[in-house]
Amino acid sequence: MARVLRRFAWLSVLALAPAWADPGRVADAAYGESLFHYYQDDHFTALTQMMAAQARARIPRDWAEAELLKGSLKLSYGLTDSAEAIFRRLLTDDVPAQVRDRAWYYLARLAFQRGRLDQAMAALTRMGSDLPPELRGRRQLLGALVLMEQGDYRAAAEALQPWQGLAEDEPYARYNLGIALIRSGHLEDGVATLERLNRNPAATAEAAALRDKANLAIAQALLAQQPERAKQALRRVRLHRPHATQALLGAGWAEVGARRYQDALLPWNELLRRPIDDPAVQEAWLAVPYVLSELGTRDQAAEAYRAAIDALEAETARIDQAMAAVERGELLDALRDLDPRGEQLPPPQALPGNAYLGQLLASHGFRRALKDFQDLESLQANLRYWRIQLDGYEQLHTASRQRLEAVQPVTLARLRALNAERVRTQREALLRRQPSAEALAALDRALADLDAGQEALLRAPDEARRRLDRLAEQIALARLRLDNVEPRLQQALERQRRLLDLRALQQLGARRDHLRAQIAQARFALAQLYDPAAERPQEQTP
Amino acid sequence: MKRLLLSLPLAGAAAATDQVIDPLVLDLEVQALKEEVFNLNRDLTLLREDLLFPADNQVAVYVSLDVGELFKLDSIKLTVDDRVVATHLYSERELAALRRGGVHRLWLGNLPSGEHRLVALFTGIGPHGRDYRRAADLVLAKGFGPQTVELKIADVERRLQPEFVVREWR
Repeated sequence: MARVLRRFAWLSVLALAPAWADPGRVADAAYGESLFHYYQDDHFTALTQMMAAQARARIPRDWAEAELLKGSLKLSYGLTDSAEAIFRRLLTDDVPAQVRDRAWYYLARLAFQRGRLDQAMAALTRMGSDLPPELRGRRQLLGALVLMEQGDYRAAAEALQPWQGLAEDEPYARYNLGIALIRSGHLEDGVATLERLNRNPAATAEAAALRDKANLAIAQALLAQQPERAKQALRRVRLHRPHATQALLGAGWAEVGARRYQDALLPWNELLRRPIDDPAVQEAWLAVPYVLSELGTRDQAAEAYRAAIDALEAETARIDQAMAAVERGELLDALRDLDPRGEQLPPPQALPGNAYLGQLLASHGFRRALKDFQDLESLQANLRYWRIQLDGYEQLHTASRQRLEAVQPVTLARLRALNAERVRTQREALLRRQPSAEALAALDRALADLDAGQEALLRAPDEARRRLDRLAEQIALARLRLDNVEPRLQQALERQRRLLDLRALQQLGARRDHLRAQIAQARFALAQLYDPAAERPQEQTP
Repeated sequence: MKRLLLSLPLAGAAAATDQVIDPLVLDLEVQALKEEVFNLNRDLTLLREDLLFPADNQVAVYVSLDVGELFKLDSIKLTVDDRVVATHLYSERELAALRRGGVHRLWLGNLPSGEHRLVALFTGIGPHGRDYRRAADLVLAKGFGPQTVELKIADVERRLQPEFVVREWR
C-alpha cells in the first residue's frame, strides 16, 4: 500500500508547473526559452539553456522563477542535494510569495521521500494560504500521505475532506481517502469512497488502473467478513489487466471463506489456463488440490498436486534461465527506452523473468536507479557530441587565426594609407592662410577621426589575437575536462547497470526460493494424502 | 538508515577484485558526475556561442505568443536585409509550449554594427478559420554587444484580430 501511495506522490513532484504559467508574463527571453523546452519535456535543453543564460546574467527579472524551474529540473535528474539547496535559497522575503510557496512544497516532497516526515509536515505548514488550486491540492494530498506514513489514518482522512485541488487530481485524493478511512476503522465509509471511483468511466489508462486498485483494496478489506461483496468488487477488476490474476485468486479465496469449495474451483481453474510465471497463478496451482482434498476427492487432489509439482519445477528452471539472461545484460537492453516516470512496462517477451520483475520495476527505488542509468547514457551521448563539435571548433579556430594573419598586412597597409601626418602638414599650411573657424573645426574633426581609426586598427589585430588565444585555451581546457570525465562516466554507468541487474537477480532468486518452498509444500501435502496414519482415525470411527 | 550492500563482480579487469556496490555511495557519485557533466555542458554551450556568435555581433530573435486564440501559427520566415536567415514550421507541441508562456529562439546570428531591416512573415490560420499571412518588420540599429529581438503574436480582442509585432526585447 505504501508503495502505491508513494508512487503517486512521486509523480506529483514531476508534474508541478512552474510559478509563471500564464502566457505573456515572461520578462526575460532566456527564461522563456528554458520554459519552451521544459513544456516540451526536453529537460536537458531547458536546464542547459538556463545554466548558460544565468552564467551570462541574462535572467535579471525572472530570476526567482528561473531558480525554481532549475531546482525542479535538477530534481527530475535525481540531483536532490543541489535541488534542495536551490529551494532553500528561495525562502527569503525578496522572493515572490508564489515562488516561495512552491519552494516549500518541493522541500516538503524531498523530506517525505527521505522519510523525514516531521520535516515534511513543517515545510507544508510554511506554505501560504493564497494558493492556486493545483498547489492547494498537492499540499492537501502530500499532507495526507505524511499522516498516513505516520500511521494517523484518521487525521489523514480529515485532511483530505473536502478536496480543494484540481478536479483531475481528485481520483487520487479519493483513493487515498478510501484507504485512510478503512485503516482508521471506518470500513463502510472507506469502501463507499472507493466505490465512487467506479461511477464514471475511466478516461485514461491511469484512471482505469486506479479503479482496478480501488476494487482490489475493497476486496482485501471485505474478504474476511463479507466475501460476497468482496467478490463483487473483484469482478469489476478488468480481466486481462495486470491485477486480473490477483482478482481471480482473491475471488476463489472469497468462496473458500464462505465454505463454497466447489465455487472456488471456477476462478482458480481459469487461473490454471494462464501463464504460470504469475505468482497468483502459481498459488492457484496449490490452491486447486487443496480445495479438491477439502471436497474429499483424494485421487483428483493427488493428481493435481503431482501436476503442480511438475509445473512449478518447470517454472523454477525457467527462472534459472531468466537469471542467466539478466547476467548476459538482457534486462537493461529491454529497459533502455522505458520511461521511468511512466506506468508502462516493456513487452513481456522482451523482459527476462517478466512477471516476477513487475513489482520491482514499479518500485520507486528501481525506477530511480533506472532513470540514473538512462541519464548517464544520455549524458555520455551528449559528451560524444561535444567531442565531435570540439574537433570542428578547433578547425574553425585555426582558420580564424590564419585569416587574421592574412588580414593583418592589409590592415597595416590601410593604416599607412591613412597618412595622418600628411593631413597635419596640410593643417599647418591652412593655418597660415587664416582659414574660417568652420573649416578648421572640420579639419580637426577629420584628424580626430583619423587618430581614433588608427588606434582602433592598431588594436584590432591584437584584440582578435587575444580573443583567439582565449578561445584556444577554452577549447583545450574543455577537451581536458572531457578526457577526465568520460572514463568515470563509463565506470559509473557499468556500476549502475550492475546494481540494477543485481536487484533483478535478488528478486528472481527470492521468487525461485519461494517456488521451491511451494514445491516442498506440495510434496508434503501429497504424502499426507496417502499417509495411512492420517487415515487411521477415520477408519476407527464407529 | 538501512544500507544495502551488494557484492559486485565488476566486468573486465576489475572483476578479479572483490568489489561491492553501496547503492548510497553510488547514488552520491552519480549525482556528483551529473552535476559535473551539466557544468561542462554549460561551459561548452557558452564556448560555442563565443566562437560562433561573438558578443559584439550577436543578434537573437525570439518568438512569443500572448493568448494566441485568434491566430494559429503555422510557420515563420525571417529575412534580414532581404536574405532569408530562418524558417520554422511549428508543431502542436511547440505551439502548446508557446501558449503556456514559452519563448522560441528562432534565430541566433551575427550582424555587423549599423542598420539592418528584419522582416518576419507569419503564416497560419486566422479568425474564422481562414488562411492568414502577415508580415511585420523592424529596422534594427545594431550597436556593440548582443541584441535581442522579439516577434510577438498577440490577440487584439477589441478588433478580434491578431497583432504581429517586431520589436527589440528590453
